[in-house]
Amino acid sequence: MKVFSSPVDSKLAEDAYLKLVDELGDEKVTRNRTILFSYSGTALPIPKTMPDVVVRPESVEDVQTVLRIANQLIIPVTPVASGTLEPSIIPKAGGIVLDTYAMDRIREINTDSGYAVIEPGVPMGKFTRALAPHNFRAALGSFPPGNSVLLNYTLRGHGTHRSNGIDSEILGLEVVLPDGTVVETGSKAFSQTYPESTWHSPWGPLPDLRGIFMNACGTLGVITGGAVRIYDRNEMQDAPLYAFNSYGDAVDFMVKISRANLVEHVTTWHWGLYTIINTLEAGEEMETSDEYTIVFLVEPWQDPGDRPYCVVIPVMTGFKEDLETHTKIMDRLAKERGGRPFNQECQERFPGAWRYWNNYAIKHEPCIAFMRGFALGYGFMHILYAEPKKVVELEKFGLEYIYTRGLQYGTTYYSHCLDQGRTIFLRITPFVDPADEAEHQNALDIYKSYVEEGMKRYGATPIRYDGLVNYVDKAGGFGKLMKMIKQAIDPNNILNPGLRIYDQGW
Amino acid sequence: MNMTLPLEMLMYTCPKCKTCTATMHPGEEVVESICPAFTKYGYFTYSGGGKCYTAQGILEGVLEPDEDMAEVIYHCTLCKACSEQCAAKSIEPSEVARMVRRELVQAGYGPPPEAQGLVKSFLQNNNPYGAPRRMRNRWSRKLELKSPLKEKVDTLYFVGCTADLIPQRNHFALNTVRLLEAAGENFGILGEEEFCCGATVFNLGCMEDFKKVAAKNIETLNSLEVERVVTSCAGCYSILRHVYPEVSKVEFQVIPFVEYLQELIERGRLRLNNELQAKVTYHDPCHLGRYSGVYDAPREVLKAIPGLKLEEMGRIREKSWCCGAGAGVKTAFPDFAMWIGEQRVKEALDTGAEILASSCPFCEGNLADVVSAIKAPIQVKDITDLVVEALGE
Repeated sequence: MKVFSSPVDSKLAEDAYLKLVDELGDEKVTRNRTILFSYSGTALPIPKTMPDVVVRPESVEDVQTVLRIANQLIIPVTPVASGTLEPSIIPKAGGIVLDTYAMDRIREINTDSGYAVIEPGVPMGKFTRALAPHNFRAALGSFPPGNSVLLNYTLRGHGTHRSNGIDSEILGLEVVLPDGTVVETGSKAFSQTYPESTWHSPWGPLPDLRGIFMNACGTLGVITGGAVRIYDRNEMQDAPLYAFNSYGDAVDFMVKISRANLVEHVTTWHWGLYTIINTLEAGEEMETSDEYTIVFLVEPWQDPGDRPYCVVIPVMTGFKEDLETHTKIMDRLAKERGGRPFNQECQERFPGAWRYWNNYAIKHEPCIAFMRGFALGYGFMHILYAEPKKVVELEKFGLEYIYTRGLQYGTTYYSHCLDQGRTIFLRITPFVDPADEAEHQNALDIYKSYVEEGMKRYGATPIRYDGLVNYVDKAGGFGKLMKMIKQAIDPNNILNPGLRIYDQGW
Repeated sequence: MNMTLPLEMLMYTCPKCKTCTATMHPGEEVVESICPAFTKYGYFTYSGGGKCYTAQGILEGVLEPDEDMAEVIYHCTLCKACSEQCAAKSIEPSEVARMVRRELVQAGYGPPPEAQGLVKSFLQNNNPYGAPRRMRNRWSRKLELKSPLKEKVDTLYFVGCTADLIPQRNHFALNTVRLLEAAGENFGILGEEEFCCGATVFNLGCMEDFKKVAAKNIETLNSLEVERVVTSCAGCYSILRHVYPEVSKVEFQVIPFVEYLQELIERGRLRLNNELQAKVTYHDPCHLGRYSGVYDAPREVLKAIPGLKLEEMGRIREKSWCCGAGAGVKTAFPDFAMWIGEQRVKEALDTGAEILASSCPFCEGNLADVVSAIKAPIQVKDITDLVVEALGE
């Protein structure tokens, strides 16, 4: 894996280090080279860059101090929280990495209104445990319990799994701008004038500024807190499974039950993925499992024989009578589309997958088994949104496009129905040999061209910035406005400039 | 504990998920820190995953062993909590950390200066404590114990340097002997012929030094033809049981004394008649627990003592918080060791227990130092202390 040196002048880096130590103390600031290296990149096979300094702020005031010094010296700052794969946390421009994991307070759990106020270092495992005594839960993504809730929610996608089609779990954000100004969004925006203001609404009489900090990868401000939606566990949780022989039928089913408000949320899993999770949850090693052959050697668009092509997982919450009725209706709708209820069969044939879905969809436990999949190699994040009919075409195209381009391992996916089927999330994941640098490059090239083809042919859109493509210049007037916003907020371009959202990809 | 795992296998599968730092697996009701180094210092690098990234840096030629690396890598008790928690499961961060320590030693950056005396003494005196060889076995000179080098015994008690040479820890040896005698066991000790097991140098990364003494010890122990070797030190047990077979063929069976004690009690060879009216909590030593899977025996022994009530701490068994003494930390970074131990003592106090029991002289030493320093109202004892008290006359 390539590791670049920091492009920052060493004298400038030294000055920044000394000033930071002077103001924050040496326990929060380091330039230990071994520590710097572990902040140089992610588990993704994307080139790394050494930062010059790592800082661990513990408060909003600490963050303000760092940004003030960085602005004086004009040295890059890359804010990071705990994430596994995000390219946005690679300090491509060197400089200061701001590790916010020490800001880990749950400031408030408001069960009356249904939100919690948390800092960026709060991991999902801690958050779900804190909510449990209140009989509340949070939207879970497919990220592990040690990862930051706010980081994942602000990158969307991850946090959209449990909220009746709403595409963001963020109610409001507290952000420190490069000049030290603290911004609170939504109903909390008035707290300076009206101290009774709270976070209950994302909207107010003014434009909704949450959006400029969402998916912004720390290029416009450092998120130091936020209010996120939390959900009542209700009288009953359920996740009756359905098997389908095609992705098209599964998508049609997902859209139908979502629009009829029969479910809170719904996903579908390709056979390769549920076979992997079944094996990993059972505690077996994928490479030595009998299932290895089917997952990694069978073309992923093929009929997998005696197992369903897709399994749909509707997530339901509410009263027992409602859920029972909704399940009967879904049984009928599934049959009308060539599907079938899959609960009993899944328990018997795929007990690991059954346990995983139960933990995830009913017990609301952050998932952990996926992490074992990394032993197979790095997973890429080929995530696109598209309209229902187009996403069905995209699945056919994508599986073949990615699988046939010479990667060593298999390709599989899962899919979310969002906003009552207005858009469908499709994450196709090829696995890449972690020790093969040539394959990394091939995987990156495949990824870029797949996204380009997806946008061109199917009107799809990537769900987050990947650091590889210049989306801003492809976004017309929208891109122009973004550049103006960046110029106004961060004129010295200190915040995550290495990601180069505003000029070109790297 | 594996000395031969390929480094690449161990490093590249870390997805930076931080699950190695706290108890967060599905089904666990609360989240609690479990990695002392990450909890104290906070940078990802100190976590199990961070150690994998460090190894990656060496392998890729980006990092070279230096003082910076030593600072991070030796601030770790190798307690193995990270390996136990790791979500990827294929990773053994503790093993990676040991490998990096070996790199540091080869490059002249390890062990830390404060711990180099341990290695020097190991080489000069065959123990890490700076004690001349003649100091060995002073605790037993009036006891007339058998030597398996001179006569046939069924059981060899491998005393270990700490119980042998540290006066405050002699009670481990005295209790063990007392209990073996009470059970009518035909046993012996090596006395002045006992060599250090090598745990200290192994954990500090001095592999060449370790291998030499390990080979010698294996040869000696193989030649004795005893039915079993028992140890009262968790560190000795872990090394004899798990690491020696990696060095050469081992032809003896090694058992932690607490496990043998459980057997002796269950078979009625030891009768515990005295009531001890007290609340006790048990600290799992890392080398007995996570390294060796011995969790039940100490608890069963404690439960067998009349009147004693076991109150468990929150972090126990696989999820136990380390005492802070291991892998050279107590010597090299005493403040860090005391901080780790203090977290454990406070946790023990929260149970309302009057006694904090363990089954390892290292753990006892550090926890006792903390109790003394913070004047905590709790006594630190070895399980054998309690069994001897319950045994009466």
